[in-house]
Amino acid sequence: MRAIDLRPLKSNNPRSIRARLLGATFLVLLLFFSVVALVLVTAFRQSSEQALNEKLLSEIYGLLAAAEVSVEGQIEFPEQFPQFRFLQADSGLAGEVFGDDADSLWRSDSMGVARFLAPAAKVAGEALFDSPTLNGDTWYRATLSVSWELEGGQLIPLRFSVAESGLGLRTKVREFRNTVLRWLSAAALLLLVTEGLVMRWGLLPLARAAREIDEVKIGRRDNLGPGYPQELKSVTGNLNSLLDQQRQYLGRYRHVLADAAHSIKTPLAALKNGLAGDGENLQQVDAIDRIIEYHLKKAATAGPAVLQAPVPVAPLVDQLVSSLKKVYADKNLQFETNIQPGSQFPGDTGDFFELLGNLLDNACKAAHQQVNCSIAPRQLAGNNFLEIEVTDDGPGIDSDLKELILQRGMQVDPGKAGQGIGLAVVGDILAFYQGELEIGESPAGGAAFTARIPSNTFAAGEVSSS
Amino acid sequence: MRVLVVEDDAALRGQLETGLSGAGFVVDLAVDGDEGLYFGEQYPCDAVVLDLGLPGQNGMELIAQWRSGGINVPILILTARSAWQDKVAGLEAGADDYLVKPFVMQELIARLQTLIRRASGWSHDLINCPPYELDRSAQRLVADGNRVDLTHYEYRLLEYLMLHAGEVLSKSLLTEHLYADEGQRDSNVIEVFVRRLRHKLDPDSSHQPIETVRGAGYRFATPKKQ
Repeated sequence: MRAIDLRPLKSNNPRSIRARLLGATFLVLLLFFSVVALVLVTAFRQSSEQALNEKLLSEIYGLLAAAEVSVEGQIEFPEQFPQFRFLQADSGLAGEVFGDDADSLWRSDSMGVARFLAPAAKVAGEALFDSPTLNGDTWYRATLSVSWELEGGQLIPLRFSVAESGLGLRTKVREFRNTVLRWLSAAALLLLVTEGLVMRWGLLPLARAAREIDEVKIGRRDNLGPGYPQELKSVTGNLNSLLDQQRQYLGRYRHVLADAAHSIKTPLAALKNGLAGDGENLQQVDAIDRIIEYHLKKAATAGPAVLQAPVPVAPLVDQLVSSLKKVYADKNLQFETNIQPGSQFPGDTGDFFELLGNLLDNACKAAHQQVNCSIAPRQLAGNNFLEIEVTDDGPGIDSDLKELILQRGMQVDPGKAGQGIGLAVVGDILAFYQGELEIGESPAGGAAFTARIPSNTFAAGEVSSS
Repeated sequence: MRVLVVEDDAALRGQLETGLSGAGFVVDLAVDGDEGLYFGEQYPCDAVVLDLGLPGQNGMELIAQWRSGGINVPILILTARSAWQDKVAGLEAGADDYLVKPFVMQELIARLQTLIRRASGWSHDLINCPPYELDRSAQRLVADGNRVDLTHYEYRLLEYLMLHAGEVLSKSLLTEHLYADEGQRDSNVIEVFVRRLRHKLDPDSSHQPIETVRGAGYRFATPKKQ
C-alpha cells in the first residue's frame, strides 16, 4: 500500500509553470517600479526645493536692493514695493528682517500677526535655509546675514529672511507622484501582459507536447511530431523512442514465445501420438501441455495500456465470431452481439482476443443453439469500466467449479485434468487489469460470464505497484 | 480421400502419415512451405493439414497464396500457437479449422472428415441420396432399407462419388484421390470397382445410380436429399 499525502499543495509548488513565472515577474516588477517611483519622487522634491530656495534668495536680494536703513536702525521700504505678495495678506510669501539680537526689525504685511522664530545668526554674506512651522504648516525659509553699512560708515549686522508656504511645493510633488505612479502602473501592466503573451508563445511547445501526448493516449496519433525546439528535442525524441520500443518489444516478445511454443509443442505432439494407448503417461503429457500452455499465455499477456490507445472492440468481436462460426459450423450456433458504440478495451489487442476468445469458446462448447455477447462502457461511483457479458443456453456452469473459481480468486489449477485452461487465462488477464469476473445464470438457463475491466487511465506507478 | 500434410517435424510427419493412412486417407507429405505450396497447386487434394511455423514460406503465406489462386480446398491448421489472435488470423486468412498441438490423432481425423464433408456441401455425416444412405461415421451403406456390404476400396470410391453427387468425376481424378501409389493407378481398376458397385447398389438396374459420362468420367446420378 502506498501512503496517501493529504496535505494541501504548498504555495511554492504551483501546478502551472506559467503561473509560477507570471507570479515571479509580477513581484519583480512591483519591486522595481516601487524603487523607480521612490527615486523619481525624491529627486523631483529635491530639485523643487532647490529651485524654491533660489527663488527665496532672489526675493531677499530684491528686499536688500529696496531696503533703506535709518541711522537709528529703522528699516523702511519705498511705496513701490518690489514684490506685491509681501503686501497681500495670506499670500504664502513672507519677508522679515531681524536685528543682531534676533529682534524683528521689519515684517511684511502678508504675515499678519503670525511670527516665525528667528533664524540662527551666520557670518555676513552666508545664506541659511530652514523649515520653520507656522500655524501648523511647514514653510521654506531662506535667511541671508548681512553687515549693513550706515551712512556714517557704521556696520550693523542684519538678517534678511524670506519664507514661502510649503503647501504649493507639496501639492506639486504630490501631483508629480500621482502622475509617476499612474504611468508606472500602466507600464507595469503593459509589461505583465507582454510577459504573459511572450510566455504563452515561449511555452507553446510544452502545450503542444502535452496535447500530443493526450492524442497518443486516445490513439489519434502514434508518436510526438517533429519540429520541437532544441530544449525539448531530447525529451520528445526519447519519448518517441520509448513508444516505438514499447510496441516493438511486445511484438518481439510474443514472437519469441510463439517460437518457444512451437519448439516445445511439436515434439510434445509426437510424444503424445507415440504414447497412444499408454493412459498413465498420456495423462502426464497432457498435464505438461496444460502447464506450458497456461504459462506461455500468462507470459504473453501485455497488461493495461500505458501511453497507448484503447482498442475499439467492435471489429475484434466480429472477427472472433466469424472465426468461431467456422470452428463450430456443425453446431449451427446463433450468435447475437450487442456492442455499444464507443466500447473500447483499455489495453492490448491480443489480451482482448484472449479474454473474449476464451469466454466465447466456452460458451460455444456449452451452448445448444444460442450464444450472446454484449459489450458496453459503464460507469459506477465515478469509475469507468468496460463490461463484457457472454451468455449461452447450455446446461449452466457447474456450481463446484463456480465456487472454486470465485473462492480461489479465479486461479484455476492449469495442471488439473478435466478443466480447460481458458478460464484460468481469463482470470489472469482480469487480475492483471484489476478487473473482476462474475459468474451467473443466463435467462436461457445457461451460464452468464460478466467481466468488468477498469478503463480509467492507468498511471505507470499504479500498474507496477499492483 | 487425398490429404496434403505440410509439417516440418520429421517424427510428427511420420505419425501423421501412419495415422491418416490408417484411417483410409491417401497422404501427400511436404516438409516445408515451398514444397507444400507446390504440392497444393500441382496435386489436387480433398484437405490440407498445415503447420504454421514452417521453414521457407510460412503457413499463413501458403493459405493466402492458395486462396488468392482460387484453391478452395479445406485447410486445417495444426500449430503450437494457441493465442486467439493467431487463431483468428489463420481462420480469417482462409483456413477452415484450427487444432493446437499436441493433439489426439482421432480428433484430427474426425475434424478432417467433417471439413471434407462440409466442403462437399453436406451438413451431416449421413449422406442421403434416396434410396441410398451412406453413414460415414459407421462407414455403412443402406439401400432400400437393406444394409449393403462393401469392401474397403468399394466404400472409398462410393463415398467419394456420393460426396460429390451430381458432379462429373474423371477416372484420373478418382484414381488420384483414392490411391497413394502411382503404380496402382490404372484406370481399369476404377472401371472394375464401378462395375462391382453398380452390381451391389442396383442388382436389377432399376435405379442406375452411377452414370458413365462418355469421354469424361462418372457421375453419381441419384439426387441428394439434404
